[in-house]
Amino acid sequence: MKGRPTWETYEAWLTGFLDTPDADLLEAPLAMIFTGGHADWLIDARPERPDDEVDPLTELAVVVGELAPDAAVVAAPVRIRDLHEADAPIVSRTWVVTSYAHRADGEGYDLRTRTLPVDGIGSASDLDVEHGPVASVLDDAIRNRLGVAPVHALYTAVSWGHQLMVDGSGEVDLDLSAGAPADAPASGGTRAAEAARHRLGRHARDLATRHQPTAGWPQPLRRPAVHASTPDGWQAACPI
Amino acid sequence: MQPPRWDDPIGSACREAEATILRGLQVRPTLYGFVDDEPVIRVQPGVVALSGDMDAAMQHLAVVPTVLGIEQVLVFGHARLTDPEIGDDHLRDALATYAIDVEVGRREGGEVVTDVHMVEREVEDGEVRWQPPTELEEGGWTDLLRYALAPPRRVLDLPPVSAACLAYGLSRWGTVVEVAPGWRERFGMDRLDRRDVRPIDRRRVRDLTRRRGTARRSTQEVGS
Repeated sequence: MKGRPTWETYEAWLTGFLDTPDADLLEAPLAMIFTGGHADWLIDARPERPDDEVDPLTELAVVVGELAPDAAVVAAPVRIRDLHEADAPIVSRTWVVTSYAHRADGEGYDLRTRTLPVDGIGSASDLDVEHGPVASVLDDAIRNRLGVAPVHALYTAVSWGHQLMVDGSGEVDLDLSAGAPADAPASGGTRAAEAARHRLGRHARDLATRHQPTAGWPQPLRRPAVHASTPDGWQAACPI
Repeated sequence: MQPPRWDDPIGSACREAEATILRGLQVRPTLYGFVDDEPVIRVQPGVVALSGDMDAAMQHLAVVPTVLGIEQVLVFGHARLTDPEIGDDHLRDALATYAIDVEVGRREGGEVVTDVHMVEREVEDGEVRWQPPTELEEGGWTDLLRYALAPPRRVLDLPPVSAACLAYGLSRWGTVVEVAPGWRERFGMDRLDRRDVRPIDRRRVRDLTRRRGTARRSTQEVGS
């Protein structure tokens, strides 16, 4: 897909991506970080592993929450199969997208979950926000940031195995004096970066456990509250 | 997003409902508690409470004014109106209209006074068109209001539930509880104890207590 996605075009960009030859390789979620309406970074999640303490989606949500950009999107791929032919190839694909946007003319942020068109038919539609697989984690990560420097958050993402992609043509406003994230696995990074990575790792494990479906119920939706549209200036009553 | 106003409950509740309606989603029962005519707390059950067990969702709403001693409450939510005179079930459902049920309750002395209005709405050309409100005797949340605003009665000799435990417990179960600036401290919801929370949450409570301790110490130094 050509060009950086913008806040207005990212849904079309994601839908269009499914038509490309790479779509069949698409097994992993994707995050987009927006500044001033343009996507500065895309983070392509690492594959899931059976021994994961923290799943890739939760790691993405933690990094996004820590970066606290103007806006961000976490998109989870959805594979659609025929119920009666579970072993047959996938019928089609789409995305479930949870978006976070800082309010321009007020305080706080909005969270939404939408599902994108299948096979380009129809338009995107909203779901109740809890249907986004990391809606509650993202909300928690935004409200309870550790305060790690953005470059360290990106360094951590790379060290966990996620891929960062940036459009080389534009200006990316990020202080890289702590070392370019792409160098991270080889050089080991500065001590500050490693300390941040350790803290974020513990934070991610905590979040993954806190947001497990409430004990005793297997429903994936039974998780801590998602503060999707808090009145301006208000805050969550529970401080943790 | 501005919270509703005590002097214009119907208009302001409908304004809050609009964004949800335009997204094609159902407006969940939403409760606002007011103190001295100012909105101070907002409570809204999570989607899982609505899909399975509406009673549990109602209880989550009702417990908040009861525990916090709030005497002015606004509740609004989705309502579906059908014409009882249509005999055929399918036809009756097909001709259903949709509305927002807006109910205001306040305690006056020993009595609970309620105002119930139904506001029908349609979506046309990407806009919500509201009909004039219809006043009703009773609505879907009237029982909830009467229960929640009833003067306190000590039924069992149990220690009172702390506001902090209330906020924590409801949040764990997916119910959104939010407060106006300054009210988290006024209700005492920041005073969580390690023993009140799940093991996984204890580190956070410990960090919170530490931060509060630091803040208190620095305030004392400034004052002395």
